[in-house]
Amino acid sequence: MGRRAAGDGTGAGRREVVAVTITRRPPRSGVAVAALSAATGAAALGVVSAPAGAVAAVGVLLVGGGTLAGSRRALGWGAVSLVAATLLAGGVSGAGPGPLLVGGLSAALSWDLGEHAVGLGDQLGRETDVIRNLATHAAGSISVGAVAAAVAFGVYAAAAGGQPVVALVFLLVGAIALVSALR
Amino acid sequence: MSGRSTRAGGNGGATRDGRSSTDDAANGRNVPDGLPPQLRPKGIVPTGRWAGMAGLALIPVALGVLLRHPPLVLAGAVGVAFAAYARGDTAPDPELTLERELSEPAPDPGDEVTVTLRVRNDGDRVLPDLRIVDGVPAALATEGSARLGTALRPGRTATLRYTLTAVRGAHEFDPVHVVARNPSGSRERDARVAAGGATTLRCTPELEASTSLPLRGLTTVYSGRVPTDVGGAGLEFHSTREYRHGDPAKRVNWARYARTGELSTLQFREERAATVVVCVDARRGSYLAPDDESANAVERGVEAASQAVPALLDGGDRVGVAAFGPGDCLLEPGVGDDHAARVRDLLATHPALAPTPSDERFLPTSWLRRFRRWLPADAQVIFCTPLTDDYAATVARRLDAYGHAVTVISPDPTADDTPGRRLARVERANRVSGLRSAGLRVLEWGDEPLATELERAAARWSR
Repeated sequence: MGRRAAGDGTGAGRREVVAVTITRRPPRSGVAVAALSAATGAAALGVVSAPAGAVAAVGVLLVGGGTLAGSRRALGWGAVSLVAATLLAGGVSGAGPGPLLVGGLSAALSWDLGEHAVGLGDQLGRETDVIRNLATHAAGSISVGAVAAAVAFGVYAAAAGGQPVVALVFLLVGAIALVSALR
Repeated sequence: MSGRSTRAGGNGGATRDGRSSTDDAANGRNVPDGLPPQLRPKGIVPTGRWAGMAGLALIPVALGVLLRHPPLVLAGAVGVAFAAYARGDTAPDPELTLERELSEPAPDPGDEVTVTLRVRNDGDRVLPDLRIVDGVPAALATEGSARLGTALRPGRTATLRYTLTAVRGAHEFDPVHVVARNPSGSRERDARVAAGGATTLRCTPELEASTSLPLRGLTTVYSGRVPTDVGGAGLEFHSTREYRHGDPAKRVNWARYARTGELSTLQFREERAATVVVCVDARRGSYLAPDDESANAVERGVEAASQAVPALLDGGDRVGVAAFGPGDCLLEPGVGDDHAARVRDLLATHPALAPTPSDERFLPTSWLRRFRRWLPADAQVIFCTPLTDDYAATVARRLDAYGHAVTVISPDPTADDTPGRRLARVERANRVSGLRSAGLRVLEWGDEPLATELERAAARWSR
């Protein structure tokens, strides 16, 4: 083995020490998943309502940029923009259940996936291998969202035929009460 | 995560913070900067990432009611579902076995060591979100990330592999920082887990005598190689004196006898062995370097010691080692191969001489009192110090005054890119000339190798 001891008398004193600092940035794959989720929602909303699409596009930019830069605040505003776009599409343009479900889902998912990526960046940095972690988390969140959307749509399709909105609302408030009572 | 050191300079000497700023990297923070480790949350911590979700979900519901548009209620339902998901999710309780393996537990300095950390899920539940940060010793630089983000099914093993560059010292790995979250990420458990297998990296440089250090005239009664002012048997002419009965015939000054008929005896300089204690200034404030890439002054002091000691031992001198810093580091003067091995081990791995400063409290005055009591009366002192404060100069001058001939080897850690640093450099230069005018030998060690500087200085020093 080559002895590169500091005390070899020739290169004495100056030893190269390369400091490894963690780049506290979210992993690129995480950024991509969050931005993709936001873009899907924006596309679905943009098809039914132009103003909602515009607001959602701002949301996509904020989600993508915020996640890339590791800023939870920008990411949060992005998710809020997506929620606002969903409200806009439903309230002003009278969009149907499909686009609204996709919009709400994409807002929740882009916050979840983006925040997860930012957290990974904080704790592990960009160089670290986090693919399994990211994939598992994304799979969990997406399936929860998909099941929730499917159940909600099923209940809506079954109940909204003759029932007033109020019945649906009571159903939801009941669900919220149940969730809060759960520990 | 490396032996980085702060720059010398600033106000009245040097910046005091010698600790590497990147060691936070080993702690995998999930809390704001600046929180001391004892305040960091342990155990189960709610992450708060879903806070307010249920409230937010009510907005589309309310709007749906007001505008009589039922589909809006659906968007709210999705939000409620996520709130329920986060709420109902239990905190993970990871049961992990960690095993660390080093490709070479005792490398040479500069060698690359591959570290393999295996993580096995011993519990019977899936760990969907597991973040692992290995406790890399503060002085070691890593290549590749010593972190891993993964998901583990029961019984499965994940492997983290990275490379370290070895530097002098006995480096203890810290416990591995494990953060486990539940699938929704609403709660996480923060834990430190001790890894099995290798926990220490020992890097002991060879002692290599590159140059002989000229010693001062304080010697023992044993013969050696230090020329003294005492006349007797030796090589170099010293004086003549009257013949005394019993003087060896070959030392009689025959030339003078032929000229005058009087018997007289030649005397030569006696060469004797010295007792030398090499003392390295390893106080917190001495971990200084001119820039991030350079070795700090303590590292260079240890390097000077590890070059001086073998040369002295080869010359038959008794050599001891001490550290002027926290942690008892005193090695009685001795000779022989066993002693050389002890010195090598001490210089390489003693915590008082570690490449990064320790947090222990240090009282220099009581250290000096203890050191003087310990120091053999006929011992010379080689003091390796950057001389970045007045107390180091005081120590040197005081030891010299007590009769221990002191030679100062002073690695120069100062830079000159800011006014403060230039001031520190001037102050240090003043200390050096102060010591010189007090009759001490001072070797200023700049960028050149130590042997070159010694050569230059030795030509200047008188006996």
